[in-house]
Parts: sequence; structure tokens; C-alpha cells
Amino acid sequence: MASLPKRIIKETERLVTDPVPGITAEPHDDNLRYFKVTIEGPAGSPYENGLFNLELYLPDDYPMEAPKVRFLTKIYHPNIDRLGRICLDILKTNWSPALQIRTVLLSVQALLASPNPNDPLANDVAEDWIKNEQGAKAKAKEWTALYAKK
Amino acid sequence: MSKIPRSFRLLEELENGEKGLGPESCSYGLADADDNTMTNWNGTILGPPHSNHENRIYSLAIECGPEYPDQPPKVKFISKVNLPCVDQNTGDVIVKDFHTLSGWKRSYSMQTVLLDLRKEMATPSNKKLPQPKEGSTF
Amino acid sequence: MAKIDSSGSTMPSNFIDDLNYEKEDSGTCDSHNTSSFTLTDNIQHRRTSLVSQESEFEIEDFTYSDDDFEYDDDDGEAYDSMLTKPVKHSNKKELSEGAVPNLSYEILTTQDIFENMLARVDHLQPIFNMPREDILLLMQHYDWNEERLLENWTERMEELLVEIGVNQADAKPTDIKVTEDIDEKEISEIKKRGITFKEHFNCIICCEEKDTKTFSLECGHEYCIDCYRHYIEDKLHSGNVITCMDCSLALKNIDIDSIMGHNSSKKLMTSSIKSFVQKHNKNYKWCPYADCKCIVHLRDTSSLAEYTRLHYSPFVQCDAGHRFCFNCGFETHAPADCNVTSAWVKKARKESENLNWVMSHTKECPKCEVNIEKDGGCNHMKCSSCKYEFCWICEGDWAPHGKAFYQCTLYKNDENSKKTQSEELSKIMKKYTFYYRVFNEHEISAKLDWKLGQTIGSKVRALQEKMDISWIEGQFLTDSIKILNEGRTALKWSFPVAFYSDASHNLTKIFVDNQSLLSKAVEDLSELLQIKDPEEIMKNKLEFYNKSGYVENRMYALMECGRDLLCKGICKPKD
Repeated sequence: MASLPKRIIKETERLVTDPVPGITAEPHDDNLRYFKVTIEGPAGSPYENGLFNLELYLPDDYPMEAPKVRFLTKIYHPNIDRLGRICLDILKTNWSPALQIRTVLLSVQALLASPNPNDPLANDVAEDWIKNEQGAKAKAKEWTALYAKK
Repeated sequence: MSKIPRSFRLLEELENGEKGLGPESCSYGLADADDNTMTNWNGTILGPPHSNHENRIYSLAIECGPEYPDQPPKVKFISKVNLPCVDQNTGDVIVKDFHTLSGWKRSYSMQTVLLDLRKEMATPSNKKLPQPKEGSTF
Repeated sequence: MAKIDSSGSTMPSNFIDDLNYEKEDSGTCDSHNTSSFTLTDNIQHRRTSLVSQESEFEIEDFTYSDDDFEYDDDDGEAYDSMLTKPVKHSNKKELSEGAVPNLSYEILTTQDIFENMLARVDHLQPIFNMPREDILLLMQHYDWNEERLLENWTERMEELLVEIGVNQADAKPTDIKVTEDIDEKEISEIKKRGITFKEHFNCIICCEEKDTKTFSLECGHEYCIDCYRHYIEDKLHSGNVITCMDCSLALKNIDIDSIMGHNSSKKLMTSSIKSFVQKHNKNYKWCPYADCKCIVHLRDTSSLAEYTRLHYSPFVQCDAGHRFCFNCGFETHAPADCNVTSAWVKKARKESENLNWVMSHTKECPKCEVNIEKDGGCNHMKCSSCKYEFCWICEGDWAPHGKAFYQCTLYKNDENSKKTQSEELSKIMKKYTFYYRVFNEHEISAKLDWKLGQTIGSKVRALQEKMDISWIEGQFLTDSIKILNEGRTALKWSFPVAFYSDASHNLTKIFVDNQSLLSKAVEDLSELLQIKDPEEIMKNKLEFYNKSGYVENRMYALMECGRDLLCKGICKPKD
């Protein structure tokens, strides 16, 4: 493999020495651009007490191109689809090279705390969320207990 | 070039398939939209013109195992077809008889497999092979 | 049809220096009356007068020459006036071509549009009272929609300037740093916009420490020049305003060019204008021909609906001489209208997988099976091997074609035995295949005719040299090839009309007869144009006149007849 850019080395170091509370990110030994990620469900959200597994990959053009991120744990959320794909502006059009892995993961955590059913990726979930918020949140809680056990 | 992990590679292929970016003669999609391991896929090939496959639509099952794309996918015809590289009892594409699978490269994709199978149908030695009744399955 | 080339740009390299440029007198436009405002005018008065203008960039009033036929704003009236006013010769010609008469449009390039925008910026400058570069940013951000910009401007000037990134927000932008070793002093310094050289600079984007040029806006977010170049390069194609990597402060064209070291902002401006054209595709259309950079601007589309009802199409011609339909973007398709055209094209696309055998340029001689390649548009083939003469389209003997009626345009229904449903389906397919094949053959012929046309110039020159004939006198050849092209195109598009028409109707039969006549006329002219010997050509000069005149007449007759079929509902496209 080509040598790893200094930027990625620095970010990785800092993720280890100065971790973000509630978030872990660790590169795979055989692919240093590919990270194992866990995010704790934010307190007060239906995802509280859940531990969600994600994967993150830094493409060749990183940091000019956004990282690719996906949920591995099943989750009931209007902006996350059945394959774990995330609808988040900074992962697409609003990406800036000044953002980092940690800011991306913080944004994902914030998305768990405040879902946005008006800009949905998972249409059926978003519909449920708008029509019956209490029910949708209960279902999200149920799924958290079922799939995201610590 | 760094190595894109299996899942992000498959998501890319899925998006290309959904957008219909590839040629119209082949298509593919996830067999189970809920399966986040993205292992099982359906493929179709429109038989090439000037051959006994003309106007036929062939269905295939493609299995991308945990080692994909380092290892080739397992490919199997659902629709009956008479081709030297296809096992006539099971419909499996025989790896050693199909150069795309035997000489697999990481840069190949499911689309490569489908297009190359279609080319296989159109080779001078294969295009005139008698074909089983349309619509029959393995 | 070819795709639009999106890569090229036609901007001159010096436009950025030319923000104060003087509008060139293009001859087609008068400057707008607002240009007479002076700085001493009452600002309020100026603002309202500008806001009240039409939307987008109604920069210039174009004076059109068609003063004898003015569209009213009201569609119905325009139509009525067309019927009551005596039809001029040119109108009549356009009408018989199935085209909307006196269509007023202008041909522009992205460069022209950008220059119009710059002129607009000049007009707006007194209102905004800020540098032109900044106004350009505002315009770019608002997709060059001046009205919307002015509306928002009057409402919330300050916010807008921050939002678009002309001014810095008061709040100090949050700065997330990868490394702690950036000198705090540097950040607290008042930053100047521009490039500086730094030793041991630590760029937080690439995390490399090096001696390098850096760039920063007033916000103080400073990065190495390499990262900035990479960043800008990726964004030039979007046409959107490019901002600092860490805040919303915008890069001006002058910044972009100084970072990139060359005139890259023109690429950005071209992309931005392209997206403007895309967003205003009701009034602006790219010429659909490959590599053509022309944009057709049709100001008033209000009258088009009425003409569509009468199955007239808005055919336009760009500066490069490409003729196409403004409505559907296809080549001129009379006698077919846009509906027939799009139904036909959709069907052809669907079936093309199965039909690509017809695309071949070579055929075996029906007699001796030698491979024959077609080298001109003429469908009268003579096998070079066995001398058999046959028709390229139906592969039948040529002899009956030469006489009276050219019957191979007609699909012959064999209505012998009773048909089951599947046979019925295959019959429809067979009918389609036939029409598609003929259509396609004429398309190929048209392409070959076009190639032939490319050689006409040298033929005319040969006439001049060898026969001592003036250039003007030699023009009959050029005219003939032009008419041949038009006739072939009309013939080609008549097949979709025939395909979708009720075959049992008398008018359809008349239409098919008209097709045969035009077909014969076109083949005759095409054959005449195969003559290579200059002396022979001059001998036949009168023939050229006669034959092309005849093609023209037959073509108009066929187009009128086709429009009749459409108006009467005998031709109805279906998928």
C-alpha cells in the first residue's frame, strides 16, 4: 500500500490519545484507512443505552473527499436506511476538508439525538416518525434494546 | 491506490445498478433489500442479437461472499441456458471454464461478470448452440 | 443525436481583467434604458425601477426585424392575427415547412451570456455601491436571477452579505485544530487576504510541515497552496461560489486565479453560466449537435402553445448552421411533430437492442452476395461485381423503382390468413421493423449525403478552375446538396408519421403516395449529385435546378399532408 498521508496518521493518533466521549474509532490492521467505529446512543434519545457499530473508510482523495460511513447495527431512524447508509449533509455536498473524522462522528451522534424526518433517507421510517412520533420513538427504543445491546 | 472495503465497494455497485448507469443489456440488484451484509444479488442478461439467445432474458443469482471483491462472486443461472461454462445440472457458472472468474481481478464487478457472460453467449462457437425452451429453470 | 459537450469553454482568457470592459457593439442589441442613469440619480428611484424590471437578466432589448408580424402577449390574438394578416412569402415558406413562422430568437455562447451578466453587474453597481467582484459573487449565488437578488437585498442586506460570504460574520469562527502546535499569535493577527510565503508552515489540511506559499482570506483560515489548489480544482465544475474551507467567506475570481496561477475562474464562471442555462431551459437551449457551443435564446415562448396545437414546430438554426427543434431538441423533424418524434425515438430506443442489424453500412448483393458498402446517399445500388442494379432499402430490382412510382416506401400488409393474437403482435412488430428500417436507411443516407456535401466545396472549386465559372454561378451545387439534405430529413421523419397513422384512411394513402413522390425526387437528385466530372456537371446545370426545385415542392407537399394527418387526428402516436 502507498504510504499513509500525514493527515490520516495525525487524526488516527489523536483519536486514540484524545478520544471523543461515547465514540471509539480504531483502524483495521490490514487497512489503515478503514475504521471500526462504535457510537453510544445519546442520553435522552430513544437510542440511549445502545452501542452502535459503524464502519468508516477514508477514500483516496480524503480530505478533499468526505469519508464514507455506514451503520452496521440495525437502527430505526428516519435518516438511516436499511443498509445503514446515512443521510447527512456534511457527508455529501457540505463536506469541507477542514472537517475531520471526529467531527463527522460527532455529527452522526448528534443525528441520533435529533432525527430529521423532513429530510429522510428511509422513507417509511420518516413517514412513521411524522405521523406517530411517540410510536416511532418506542419502536426505535425497542430496536435499540434488540440489536444494539452493550 | 488504497483498498476500498467490501461493504463500501458493494454500496457503490448497488448505487450504479440503481441509477441504471450501466448498459441496458444487463442489470442487477440486491436480492434482499434488508440484508445489510449485501451477500445475495439478482442479475439479468438480455440475450445478444444475432444469436440463439436473441430476445431472451436470463435470470442469475450472484453471491458476493465475505472475501469479495478479493475473491470472485459465485454465479449461477436460474434460467436454463446451454453454454460450455455453465453446469447443465445446477446452472452454476464453472469458474475454471469462465475466464472472468478464473482470472478474477479486484477491479472487476458484478457488471463485468454479466457483460462477459453476455459476450460468451455471442461468441461464434456459442451463438448457434441449441437452447432449452424459453422460461425453463434449473 | 449527439450529446452536448460540457467540457469546453469558450471564454476568452482576459475577461477577468475586463470587469470594467466596455460593452461591445454586437449589432443585435441596444443597451437598456437603465444605462442612462447616472450616479447622481435618486437612489431610491433607481432601485424601484430596477426591481420592477422583468426577471432574470433582461439586459438588452433586442430589436427584431419582423416588424410586420408582432406577437401579442395574448396567445389567441397572436394566432388570430396570423390568420387574418396576409401571409408573407417567407411566412408561407416556414408554414409549409411545418415551422413556426417568424420565430424570434438569438444565438448566444456562454461567453455572450457572461458578458451580458457583466454588463448587468455594471448596471447594478450604483445600487450596491460595492466592488464589481462582490456583485458578481451575489449574482453567481443567486443563479444570475437579478430579481430575486434585489428582493432579498432590499430586505436583508447585512445578513445576505454574510450568508454569501462577502463579509465575515462577527462571531469568530470556531477553529477545530488537528494539531496544537499552531502559533496562537498568528491566528490573533489581523489577517490580510492573499498569498504569503511561510517557512515551516504547518497546514492543518494535509498536516505536512513545510516551507510553502499559503493562502488565507480575512478570516485567517490559512492553508498551504497545494491543499487550496486541490480544493478549488475539485469545485470548478459545480459553478457554485467557492468558500474558505472552514467558514462561509467566499473566494472571489481574483483569489481563485492568484491561487491557481492561471485563469481558472473562467472555468468556474462557465460552469455557473451552464447551470444558469440548465435552470432556464424554457427559454435557453443548447444546440444539441456534438461540440456545438451555441445556445439558442427564445424570449417569448407564449405563442408556442397555440402553434403546437396546430402541429407546427419551433425549428431554429444556430450560428453553425445546425437546424433543430427548440421544443424537443431533435433535428428538424417535419412532417412529424414533437409528439410523434418523441414516441418514435422512445420506441426505437426500446427496440434498438433487437434491431441493430439494420444499422450496418454494408449489405450483400442480393444476386452474387459480394459485400457492398454504400458510399453515397443514393439508394440506387449497382453491384460492382455482377452489375446487378437494386434498391438498397428493399433489396429488390431497381428497374420498377426508376419508373413512375417508388413503391418500396409502402409497407405491404399481407392480409391473407386469419391471425392469432401472437401472430397479430408479431405483425405489429414486423410493421414497426419495416418502418424502423426505412427510417434508419434514410438516416444513414442523410449522413452519407452530408459527407458528399463536404466534398461539394472542392467540386465548386474544380468548376471555377476547369470550366472558368464564377463562384456565384457554382452555387447551384451547394444549393442542391442543401435541398437534398432537407428532403432526405423530411422523408426520414415521414416514416414515423406513416407508422402512427391509420392505414385505412384515404388521407394516409395520399400521404404514402406523397412519400413515394418525394422519395423518387430525392433519389433522382442524389443520383445527379454523384456526377464527378465538371464538364458533365455544367452540362446538367438545368437538371440540378429542376430536380432540386422538384424536391422542394414535393417536400412541402408532404409536410403539409403530414400536418393534415396530425390535425385531423388520423396520425396518433402511442407507445
